[in-house]
Amino acid sequence: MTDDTEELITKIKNEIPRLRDDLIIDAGATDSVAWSPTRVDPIYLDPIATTMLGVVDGIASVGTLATEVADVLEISEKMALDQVARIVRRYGSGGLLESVDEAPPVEPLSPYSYVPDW
Amino acid sequence: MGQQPFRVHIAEPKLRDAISSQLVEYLCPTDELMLGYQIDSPDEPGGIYALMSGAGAVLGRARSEGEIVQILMNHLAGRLADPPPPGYLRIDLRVLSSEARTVLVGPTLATKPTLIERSMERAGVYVVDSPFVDLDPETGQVAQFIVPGGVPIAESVGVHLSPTGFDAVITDLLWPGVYLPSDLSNSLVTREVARFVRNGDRAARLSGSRLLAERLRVQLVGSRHSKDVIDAIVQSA
Repeated sequence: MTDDTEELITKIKNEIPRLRDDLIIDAGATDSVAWSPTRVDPIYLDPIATTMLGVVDGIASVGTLATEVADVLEISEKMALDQVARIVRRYGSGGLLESVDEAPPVEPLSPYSYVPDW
Repeated sequence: MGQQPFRVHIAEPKLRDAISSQLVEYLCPTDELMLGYQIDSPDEPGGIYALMSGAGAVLGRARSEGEIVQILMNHLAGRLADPPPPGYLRIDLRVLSSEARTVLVGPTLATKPTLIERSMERAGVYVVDSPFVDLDPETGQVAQFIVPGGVPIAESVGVHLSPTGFDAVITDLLWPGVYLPSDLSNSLVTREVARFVRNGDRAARLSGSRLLAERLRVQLVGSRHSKDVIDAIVQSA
């Protein structure tokens, strides 16, 4: 993995998506339609994106959400991150997000900050 | 009635006079108008007339003056008609009707009225002369309204509109560039219908579209060719 790719993944993980509070949501049995006042047309949300509406709370970062999704669905964290990132992008393109904040940068751990247990 | 004056540019005097006489009660004595529509006449006899939008988009083509006038009238009806009755959705879809079924089709098909209407009428399917339809989403009933120079919508097709609601033919032509999955959920249909609703706030448009989506029997046509779409509509009707 290149430094650029790693930097991008870190950036995505630290994003904190926050849904607008003036959205009109029309929920179906499993999927839904959401309409932002910033868009001419509503967007369709598939079942996963619909479920995530109740999880995106404006506090948890994409990385945290991905960890939770990975735990619940018992999938790899990378796969979960891909899914969460896709959904957040979908929310963004549909005008559903207030803004995408970035969490405060996490200080990289020093390679000497932990002691191997051998 | 109409809220905003606009100009229709027609270079050919005979055609301009014919249309002016039909619209005499709506004519405004001012030059300070935006160009709304333009009719281009053919260079040679037997050529094609074209109705253009102010932005240059081709809204319709026809081989005769009568047909191009009717296409223009259909578009003008959208600007001149009264607001829909309370609770009704005004939807920019055209209505096709046979004795058996009523079908909503989208604007792409509606911009080729000559081709569509001739093919349809041969098969007993009639195009209602209005660029939009007012529907009660709860009952599926059509509001009666009169287009300029026209007659009430139900009478214009000479058949009874379905009391049980509408079918919709959803095609790639209806929503260009959007490839719909084969398994259409009500939410997906709701989203597509809501895009064509022209009245009400977002919440009303969405909830009305949801009600209507539950009534629509949607058929997919996996082709971008007009002929395939027409065949599918004719077969389904």
